[in-house]
Amino acid sequence: MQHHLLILDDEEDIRTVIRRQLEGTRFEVLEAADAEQAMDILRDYALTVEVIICDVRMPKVSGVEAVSYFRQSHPTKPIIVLTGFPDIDLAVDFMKAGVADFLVKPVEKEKLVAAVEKAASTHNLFVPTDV
Amino acid sequence: MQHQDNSEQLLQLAVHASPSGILIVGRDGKIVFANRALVDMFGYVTDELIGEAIEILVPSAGVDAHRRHREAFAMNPYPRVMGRQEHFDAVRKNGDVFPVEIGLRPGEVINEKMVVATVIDITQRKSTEDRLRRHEEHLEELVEERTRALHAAQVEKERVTERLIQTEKLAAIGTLVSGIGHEINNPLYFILGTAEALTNETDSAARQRYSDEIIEHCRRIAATVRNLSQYARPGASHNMELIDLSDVVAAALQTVKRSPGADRVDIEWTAKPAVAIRGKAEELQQVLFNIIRNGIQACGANGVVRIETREDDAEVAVSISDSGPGIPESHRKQVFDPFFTTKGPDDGEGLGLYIVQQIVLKHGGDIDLDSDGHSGTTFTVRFPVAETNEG
Repeated sequence: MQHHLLILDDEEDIRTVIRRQLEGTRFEVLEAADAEQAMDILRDYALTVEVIICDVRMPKVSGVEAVSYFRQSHPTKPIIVLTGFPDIDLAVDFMKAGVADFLVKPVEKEKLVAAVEKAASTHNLFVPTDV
Repeated sequence: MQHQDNSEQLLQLAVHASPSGILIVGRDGKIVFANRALVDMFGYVTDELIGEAIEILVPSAGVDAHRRHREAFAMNPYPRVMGRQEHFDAVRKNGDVFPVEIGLRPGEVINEKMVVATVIDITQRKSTEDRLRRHEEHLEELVEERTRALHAAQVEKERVTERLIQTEKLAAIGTLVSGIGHEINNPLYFILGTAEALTNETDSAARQRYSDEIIEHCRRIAATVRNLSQYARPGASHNMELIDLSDVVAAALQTVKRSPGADRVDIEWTAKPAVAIRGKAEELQQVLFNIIRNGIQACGANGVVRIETREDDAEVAVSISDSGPGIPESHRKQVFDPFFTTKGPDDGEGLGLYIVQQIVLKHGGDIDLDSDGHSGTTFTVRFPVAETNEG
């Protein structure tokens, strides 16, 4: 079975660096530059995307709005929020909204991989393994 | 003759009918006559008063002083009124003290010097006056109380205003810091991840690419910090020159027209006669450039950007209107925030209008925007007209 991870970030640099940090893990990285692309990818890879990494500050649809879409359309997908600026209120709001983790850039590789693995383990609880 | 016979009776009648007390006192201070009104006023019968020292009518506390005054008056008698300006007390037979007004007139009866005193009971008047005074005092207290309350309200208002300003300042700093955080942490993250990859990379071409990327992102952080520090410096308002705003618009337009996308848009501007303001030409050019540029980007193809200058006695205004889709209500407050942008990451870092606002404020001007959220936006920048010191 394939293991996919979806990154939603408007900055290509950030998507690139996350991809680099996840090299060597079992995850194949899918990239979306905005919420619309992310929803398309989620439709196509509904079963295999195990974790979503989502930026907060984006033009058009913000991270807060994107997370709320994901929670509605794919309530079992664990979401890791990645922000450029630590804001406790924002973190609390996201955790209340049910996100798996809240990380502040820059994140070291080891920490990101651990967060992704931990989030993915909760996803596995919902995925039927042999269908 | 009949008149003469009656005159004493007539006089008696008149004197006893007077509502004022009338008293005649001899040189020795003894009472020789009292009319009916006086006798009634003090609660005596006539016989009890005749032959008594006048001090019988004075409260004990004032007797000595009265005697001295009476003796002094006898030495230098002249008509006078007592107790009109100040409180002057008399005492009734029953011991009640009451305020009186007294008129004194010296006279002579068969070579004996006497004093005629008219006495008016002013209890009623005093009490009215007292009531009035108390009323006035109460009014004054009320006024003072209201003044204190108003003052307290003013102080409280100033305190609240100050607190609001502080809160606004903190919010502005918060916005700025979060913007800086984002703008610096993103490239920093890229540098971190790329350096991690570099450590494990053995291919020399890949290593070179990673190194170049790291250097480029370090430069990006440095540029952000440089940009900010250039406009965060407060009060850098020296070296202002007298410049013509029309020249500034013309120069900004020249630069704008060379920028990408400008040829797809109609830019309308009618040059006005010289308008003098005090400022830095390059900074003001940047203000107009940034706003016009935003207008062009908002329009898309076949749009129109119109620039107008207006002047009155005190200020000069430049309006830049575009035919773009307008700015929604929810964004109007944020457009001047640092790092606020609705464009993609490659089209600017969201500092344009923040910088514009900082420059305009530094020049003593202000900027606002008008947009119905559907069609078109007008930014208006106002500056004080410069005093040219001519003549």
